[in-house]
Amino acid sequence: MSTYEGPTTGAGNTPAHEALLAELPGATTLEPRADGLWMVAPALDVIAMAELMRRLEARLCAITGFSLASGEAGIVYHYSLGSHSINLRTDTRHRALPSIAPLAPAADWSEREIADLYGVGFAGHPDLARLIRPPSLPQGFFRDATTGGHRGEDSGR
Amino acid sequence: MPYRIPVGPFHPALEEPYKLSVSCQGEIIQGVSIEIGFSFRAIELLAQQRNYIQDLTLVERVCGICSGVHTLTFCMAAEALAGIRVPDRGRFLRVIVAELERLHSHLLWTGIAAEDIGFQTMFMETIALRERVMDVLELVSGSRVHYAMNCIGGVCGDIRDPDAVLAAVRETRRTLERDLVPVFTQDPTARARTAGVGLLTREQALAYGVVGPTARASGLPIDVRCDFPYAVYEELGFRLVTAGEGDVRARLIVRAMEMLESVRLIEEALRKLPGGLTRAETGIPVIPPGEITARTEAPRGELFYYLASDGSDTPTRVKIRTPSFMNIPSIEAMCVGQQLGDMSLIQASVDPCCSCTDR
Repeated sequence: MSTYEGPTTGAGNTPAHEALLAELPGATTLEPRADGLWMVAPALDVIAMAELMRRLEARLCAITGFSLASGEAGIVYHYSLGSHSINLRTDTRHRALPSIAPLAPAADWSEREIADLYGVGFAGHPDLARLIRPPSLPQGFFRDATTGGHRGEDSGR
Repeated sequence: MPYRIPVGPFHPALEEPYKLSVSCQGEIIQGVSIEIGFSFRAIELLAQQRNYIQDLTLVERVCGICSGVHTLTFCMAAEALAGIRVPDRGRFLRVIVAELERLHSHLLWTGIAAEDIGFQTMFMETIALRERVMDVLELVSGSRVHYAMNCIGGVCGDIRDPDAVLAAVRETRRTLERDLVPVFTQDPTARARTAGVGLLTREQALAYGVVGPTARASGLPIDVRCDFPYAVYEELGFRLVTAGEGDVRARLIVRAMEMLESVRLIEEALRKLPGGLTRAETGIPVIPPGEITARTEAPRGELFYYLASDGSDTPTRVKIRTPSFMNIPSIEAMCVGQQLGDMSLIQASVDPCCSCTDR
């Protein structure tokens, strides 16, 4: 089994990392789901989140972006701490968020990819240049592409 | 006077297209900047325009080396949302195919690493052994790559002759133990070309968020088979492999040891393979509304999927975070202060998969 040991338990039966996450500016309730802990916090302070996760030596696994009907993007920061999965969802504000890349190099390419595909600006990113998007396609083309089921008798592809 | 050498996107040292712009002072590398995207196919967007059955075929083709683990992770995410439990025989078969895939991937990497250091004989021996693993995969699934084994609810095929598969796997283990692992771990040439080369410290590994053998070779004991066990890894007693040096040699040793562990897992799974169904249901699964994450340990490290559903037959979001997407940026740290002549081996040592990275 893994030899990594997570943080020691905090007050009562709440793990220390859960108590610290609940104290983040903009934090809401931590919800246990089948795939780990989730927090849906539209106004989360992502810089404070990144500083806390760095102190805890949590591993940033991925950053997911997706379109919202409002025109903003939902951004989920997926962390793992030992055997704990922690997923922190926030929303962009005017299609932008502060960049956590200066604090976490692991976020560098993930933020560039979301900028490419969803047109989100990450303020303070060291270099938000095009990463995977071909130059012929516009920034944010995932957001603007037609979605919906592929229906019909034959895909023809 | 520093100068820049472009390596790629098409270069004999690179398996797949990506570009490394290497800044050098004499023979010493001062920095590397990396460009990717040459194999971008917008697979996530395509997956959001197709139903779950079509998406199985699609996500398998993110990569040709680690194809099975993509369908496995996608299926695990859909099954978790839908509350589908895979029968025991299906879970064992998933591990057998996943470990065979790890074996062939690590052998491919080892062969290329041998070629990178000019060790042509071991390149030939390693690729010849890999062919025997590909034969086993063809025996089990009908294909050398893109096995189409995983479906939502279980696996599509079955192993009707476990003894034949066991015999082939045992032969692979003997060749690994007798030839490959001793040569790569003890040969003076291999040691001279890999020891102290391409260092990535534990702190750097954590900062870059690297995963898989690259992380474990820098002393980070992370492995999804341990930390978030899936299929039957807990039942089989999976053993984690780490090394502390963080150089190319450590990454080579970790992969060599992992190949031995993969063989052990396959043998154990074949011995314990239960009877019964291989899949939970044969109809088209209904995936209810919700969002979920799923992860598996691909040959290069943690493969992470985020899946969102609105209850229709088409997912609203399929986010794929491949291990190479996290590992390739760490090449920047590994190259600083190293010899230009080692550049090829250093970038190969993270086992970069550009198909996975670009999707």
